[in-house]
Amino acid sequence: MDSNTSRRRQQAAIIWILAAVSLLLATGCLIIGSVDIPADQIWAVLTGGEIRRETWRVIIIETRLPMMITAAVAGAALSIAGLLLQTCFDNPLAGPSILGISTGASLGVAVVMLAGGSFLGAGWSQYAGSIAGALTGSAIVMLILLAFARVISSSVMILIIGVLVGYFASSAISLLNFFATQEGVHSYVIWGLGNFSGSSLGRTSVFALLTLPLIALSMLFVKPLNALLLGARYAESLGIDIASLRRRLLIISGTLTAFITAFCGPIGFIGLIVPHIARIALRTSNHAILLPATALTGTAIGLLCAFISAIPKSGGLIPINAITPIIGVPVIIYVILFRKRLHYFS
Amino acid sequence: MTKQPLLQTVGLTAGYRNGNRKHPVISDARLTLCSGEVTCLLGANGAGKSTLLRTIAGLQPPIAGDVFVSGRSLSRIPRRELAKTISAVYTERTLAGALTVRETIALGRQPYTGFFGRLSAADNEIVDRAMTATGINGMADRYLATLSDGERQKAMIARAVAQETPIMLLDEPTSFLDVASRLETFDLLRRLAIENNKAILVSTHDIADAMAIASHLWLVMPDHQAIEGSPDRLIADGAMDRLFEGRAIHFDTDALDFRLLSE
Repeated sequence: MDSNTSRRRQQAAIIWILAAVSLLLATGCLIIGSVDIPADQIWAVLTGGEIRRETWRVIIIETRLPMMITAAVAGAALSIAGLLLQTCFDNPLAGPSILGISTGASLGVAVVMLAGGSFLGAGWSQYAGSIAGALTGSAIVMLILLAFARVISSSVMILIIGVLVGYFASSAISLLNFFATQEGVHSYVIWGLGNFSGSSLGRTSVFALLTLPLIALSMLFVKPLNALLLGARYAESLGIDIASLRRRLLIISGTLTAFITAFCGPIGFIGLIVPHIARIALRTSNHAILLPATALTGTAIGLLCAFISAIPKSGGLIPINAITPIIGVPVIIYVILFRKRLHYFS
Repeated sequence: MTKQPLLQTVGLTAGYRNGNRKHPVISDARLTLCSGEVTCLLGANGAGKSTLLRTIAGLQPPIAGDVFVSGRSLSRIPRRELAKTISAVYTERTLAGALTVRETIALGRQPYTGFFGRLSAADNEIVDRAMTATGINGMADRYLATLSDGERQKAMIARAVAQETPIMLLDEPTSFLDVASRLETFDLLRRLAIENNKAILVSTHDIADAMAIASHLWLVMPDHQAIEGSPDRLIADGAMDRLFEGRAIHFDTDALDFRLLSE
């Protein structure tokens, strides 16, 4: 009993630390940037107080605040998608980018940006088009994965199928790029580098309103996700309809991935590594704790990436996909090297 | 003495469907399970023991015939109710290693708990009792990954006990265990059957242990016929001898185990 209570207390402490770190990084994202704005002025902008310069208000409201919100939401969403996929496929190395879902979504966006760009023009119609394209692309990849999951029971083989589907989508993207206009290619390449900024507060709000309900929805799956930890056969014997559960989990994680991809570009590694960081920090696989902790860790990692991307004060932002591997690769190597010591692997 | 069977199969043909093609593995089986006793399922590898277990568990529809529990067809029992009727123990490795023993056993309460799976005081008490019954009280807060194979198997049995089902199925629960854990596991199953009046079906390759604890046997023969009976009757019929027909072993009625023909 005692060790159980102390474990709970430790987990609660870690959750609080994660929340504090997220808050700190969120503040950091508002402070850092090419223009120095005094902290009291940032506070004044947020609370609607008196501001000395109007440009500061524009910078905070239209640039830094949207980037901060996007980073936090995208980080949480990708991490949840990763955790759902890892439990769903019974494979700790699953993730939205590994399974080809984000590449599928990218292909959808590429079709819209490169082939359909001339009809849609810029602005909201292109924005809506990208979301529709990303949803279609990720839905197709998920259908392919589901179809293979019916005939292949090995989760490693499913993972390899996902990687292959990803290559296939990449090659289609390359072909589209080959035939596209130079302008289209340029904007597509920029988008593909990953980006938490570059959108107005209005679009960011739409993005958050689309994504947050899905994150909340995932929290309703705690019970069947825990049953799935025992494997599909056990879960079935506990009264769970495995096929329908898998479908629902894939739809949630695929839709989350599609939204993030349409909005920020294909962001690698976050979905794969954050569930591991959360499991290692909280020392549990119990989704009642792990799901909210993963969302919170994802928020912190997303904000960290956004903060790092804004560190060079001049010359623009560092692409997010240049940062995520630097954080992600060491985590994955650690997990692979020490998997015997990490309880959740056996 | 005629006992009323809790589970019975009628003309059961179990096997796989692949599109419209059917691959029967076991045909026309008439088998029964009774409460308060351990029934062992014996047969060579590939004879169809696992297929039969899956079909009995209601995870795979029969190709023909039916499985009845207390006179009701399995196919007519809703999922959740089925989970309150039949529990299972498998040997597959899982990703549950970072759950504590207690959390793992509590998963057995899922058919009874609400949407979020919160445990009531009564649920917690049932989990406690399941741990006591299987002798793993002291391990409640240990991670599943830190248990030995034998301890882990007991935890998985405790999970099935917490599911409070009248029928319990175990698929080769002793296959990775050392001799001490193996004997303890069989003894545990025998006690659970008697003390909790459960109908327990165990598939196993440990013939001598099965002969020692089972009051009833299901045999899957090399020709894919499944037959049942008490150990004494099946030995007397020569059914045990035919269990591995065509292989270089025979059933030794003194040792109650198989021996090489050359011995």
